[in-house]
Amino acid sequence: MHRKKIAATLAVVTASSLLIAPQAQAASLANQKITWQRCTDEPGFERLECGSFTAPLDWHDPRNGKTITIAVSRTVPLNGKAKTTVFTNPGGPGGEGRTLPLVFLNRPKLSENAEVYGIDVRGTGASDNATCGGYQHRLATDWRDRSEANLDLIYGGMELQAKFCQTKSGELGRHITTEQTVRDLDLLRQVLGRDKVSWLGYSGGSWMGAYYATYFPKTLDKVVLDSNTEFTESWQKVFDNLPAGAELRFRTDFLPWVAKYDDVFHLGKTAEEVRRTYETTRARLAEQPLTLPDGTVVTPVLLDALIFSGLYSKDSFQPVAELVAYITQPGVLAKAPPKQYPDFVMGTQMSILCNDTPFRGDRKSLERQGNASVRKYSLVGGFQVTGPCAWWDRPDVQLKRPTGKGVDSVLMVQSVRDPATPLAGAQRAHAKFANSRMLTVRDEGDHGIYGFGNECVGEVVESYLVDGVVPRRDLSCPGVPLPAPGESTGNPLVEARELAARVGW
Amino acid sequence: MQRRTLAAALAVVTTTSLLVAPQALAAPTQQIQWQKCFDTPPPGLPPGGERLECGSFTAPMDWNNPRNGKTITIAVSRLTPKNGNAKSTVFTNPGGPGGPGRTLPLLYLERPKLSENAEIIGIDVRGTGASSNVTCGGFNTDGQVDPRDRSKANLDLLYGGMELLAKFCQTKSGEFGRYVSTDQTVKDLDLLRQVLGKKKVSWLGYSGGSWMGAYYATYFPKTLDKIVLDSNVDWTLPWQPIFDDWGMAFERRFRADFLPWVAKYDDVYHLGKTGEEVRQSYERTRAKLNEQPVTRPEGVYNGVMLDFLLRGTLYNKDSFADGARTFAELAGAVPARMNALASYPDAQLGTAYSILCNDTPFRADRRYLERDGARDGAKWPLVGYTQIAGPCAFWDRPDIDLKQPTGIGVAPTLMVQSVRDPATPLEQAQRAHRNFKGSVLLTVEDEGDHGIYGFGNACVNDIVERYLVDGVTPAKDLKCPGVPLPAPDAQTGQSSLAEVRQLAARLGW
Repeated sequence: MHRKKIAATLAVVTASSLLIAPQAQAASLANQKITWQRCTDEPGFERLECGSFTAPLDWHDPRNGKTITIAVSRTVPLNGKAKTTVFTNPGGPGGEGRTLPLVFLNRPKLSENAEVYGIDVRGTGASDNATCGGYQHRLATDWRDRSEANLDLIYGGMELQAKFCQTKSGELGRHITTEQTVRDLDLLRQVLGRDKVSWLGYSGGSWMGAYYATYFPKTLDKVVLDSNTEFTESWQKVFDNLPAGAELRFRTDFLPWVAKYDDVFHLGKTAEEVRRTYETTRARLAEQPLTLPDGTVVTPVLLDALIFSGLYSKDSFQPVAELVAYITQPGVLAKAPPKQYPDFVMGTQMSILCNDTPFRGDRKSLERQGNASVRKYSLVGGFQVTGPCAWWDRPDVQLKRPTGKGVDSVLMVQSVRDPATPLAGAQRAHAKFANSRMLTVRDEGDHGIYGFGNECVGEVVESYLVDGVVPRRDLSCPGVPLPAPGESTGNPLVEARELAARVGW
Repeated sequence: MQRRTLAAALAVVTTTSLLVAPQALAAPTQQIQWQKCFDTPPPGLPPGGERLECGSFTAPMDWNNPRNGKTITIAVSRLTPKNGNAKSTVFTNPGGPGGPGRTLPLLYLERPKLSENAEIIGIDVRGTGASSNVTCGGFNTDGQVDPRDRSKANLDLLYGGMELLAKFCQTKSGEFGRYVSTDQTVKDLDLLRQVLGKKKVSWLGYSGGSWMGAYYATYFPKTLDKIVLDSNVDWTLPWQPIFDDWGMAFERRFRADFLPWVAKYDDVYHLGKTGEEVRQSYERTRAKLNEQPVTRPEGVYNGVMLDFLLRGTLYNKDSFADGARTFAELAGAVPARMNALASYPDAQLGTAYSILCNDTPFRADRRYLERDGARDGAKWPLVGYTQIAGPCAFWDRPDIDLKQPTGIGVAPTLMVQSVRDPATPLEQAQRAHRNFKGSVLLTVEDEGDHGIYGFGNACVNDIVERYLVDGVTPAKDLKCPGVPLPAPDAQTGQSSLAEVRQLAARLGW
């Protein structure tokens, strides 16, 4: 929470500093000067200064005119006499680094002897950004379920993740690599006018430091790598080795610790008992995800992710154990009704749309139709609501055909500029449905009329519903004029309308 | 907002009533145990709203095989005349399809001719609200893809997302999902009529509720009395062509009603003096939002989210003012300079995947990933399945040839490593140490934290600072003891660290 606010503040400051600094020329990048200013007025940040510099988008083609911005921060010793310069990195890869120097204010031997730099490496934080378009596949479905259908979700999600990241990051994405980043670091060193700098990198920052040293061995002084990836191997291999490490920490440290404090957490008296409680809890969450008071929906895979991130630091053991203890409290899960999901409207809508009636089309026809529709109706033409039905495995549903035969009477109410259920469709349905009457609301475009303040419509509908008076022929009523800003359409229903279910789609 | 509170309150009540009511037996003999929907009226409840009663009944999961023992719960509500004399019974539906309907009867408190003469029933149809649920597993890429961008790469996102949505809905809803259809729902409605003991009922349905009403009438013409269909789809067609008309209808309402209305109140919104000027403001704002999304308390706005905002506004003229205000604020909030640094809330994720998948080759395909995930998961269930780098199997990798880190020519490197590090395991660090010439490994024994220096281990701090500040490189690999696990409510190290650590960037992965 706090961190987010600070990050936002930092971003604003960097943006302003960009405006103040004269635009550096690509040719003389090493000669550019960083304009330092306080990062934020937030308490605790008094000593952190922020700035930025310009780097080529592509170090293999540095003179093509395309540049990016790299945002940095620093703390300097209070006496102003730095013996050395230390670049820091929190890992990730991709972690924002500009707040990291604050950690070392608690280590005066370092912070009062060295200038300590924080860096938002290319792609992240207040530097030019990469993005995956907000798409995040990791917690979407339970990894443990290895059924064919669920594997389609897992790996379909991974495939879509790759496409989202690459498409949304565009050209910049292809130049976000360790090779490019270490050249940014060397440029930073030159901009600062240092012959040599030191490196302090954690986790993914051990990878970056090892490569920085590999590319620029002569300009690096001291190199500290804390919590090390196997930087002499590929990323694939690095992540292949992650689960074993996590499981070791889980079983050797976390579970016995929770068992030791059974009087606090009540999750089991031995590590094995705690593990079984975790498994039971996980299984129950698979049956019924739990919505926490803050709105977070705890699924089995989110539980695993929370425990895993808790393993990073022993100070996180307690909040994680408390969360598990909360979930296992008698009643917390039992209180939930059977199988309640926050997206039940979406679930029901897609099921009805795709189960009810056949859908003819495939990816190719959807594209064609979408192209044409977007051209004609830019506002919502591209929103192909029934599109997923093209991939739907439709059960054998045989809906009866609605003809109106045998139906006593039907009153249809319809506005002429209804955006969601257009007039023409209503008129066609009316023509084909025997014994229907149509009440057309002229010069009106609201979706949902009766009960929403049109007196003429109210009277016709109620004399039909309550008094049984079926209109002998089609009718029309005037619409309600558009209101001025700040006034409602003059009916007393606004509040009740908010309370009542919004009319559909 | 209020609607949400209300829905939550209703959900709780229904649950309670489920627990109180004896489980209903075979179909028509069951009785609905009605009780008040609100123990304490939520804020904003219209006068008389406390009269709304809630209950539920049991229906077969599959009406084509009603005796297979599988049943579902349907949650309903009712509003009865104050004098207790209802002349008729009206089933209501707000559309959707899939919209929960139990609060809809409250609307008619303002129409006493209806609500004081009829018993009005609200229904959460099968799948939704407090009835047995279906789900798409929360999967939704709405707002993440701009359908106007018809480039090949973007179409892959658009239709890849649709394909995955279909799979998520069907897999996550399981067997029940196959029985959520109008064919099944109208039979639930007829069962409800029987349970209530009525020979005939009337119908009042809006929007998608016009479809449902038409089918209810088609399946059970003899038991329906009056039928009101408000805001009609062409229910004589399949769903597919119904939505084909959406683009035309929204565009018409947008251009005929909304844009001129905003222009008329140009002194309020400053978006243009004619409908066409306002439309141009919209196009400009949309393009800028696609360059640089704007974060507001209710969410992140890109171009598509602006379309969603306006789409929602067009349903009802009373929404025009709020929608136009947000539109105007977004138009003003967007930085004027198009070349301003674009910043995205998920930049860290974008950078992480770019680096992971660009840097080094990834050898795998879908089949390999499946096997690998199953094997690792069986061994290490906590995170063995996660396969963080999995998307790299589908990544179009640029031609990058990273130098091999060997340590040759590099200053002596100090590596710090805890023995039970969960994210970067010891074995990896040891191998890297062996393969990186001139490196010194400081192993922290009986420790599993990820990130050691600067986080309260005095032995480690001392060695690192002597190296970094005084230039003293350890002559050989070293060891430090770890910091013991804390008791609950105690903090390790200096307590001031905990706060700083929260402030500072969380260490990676």
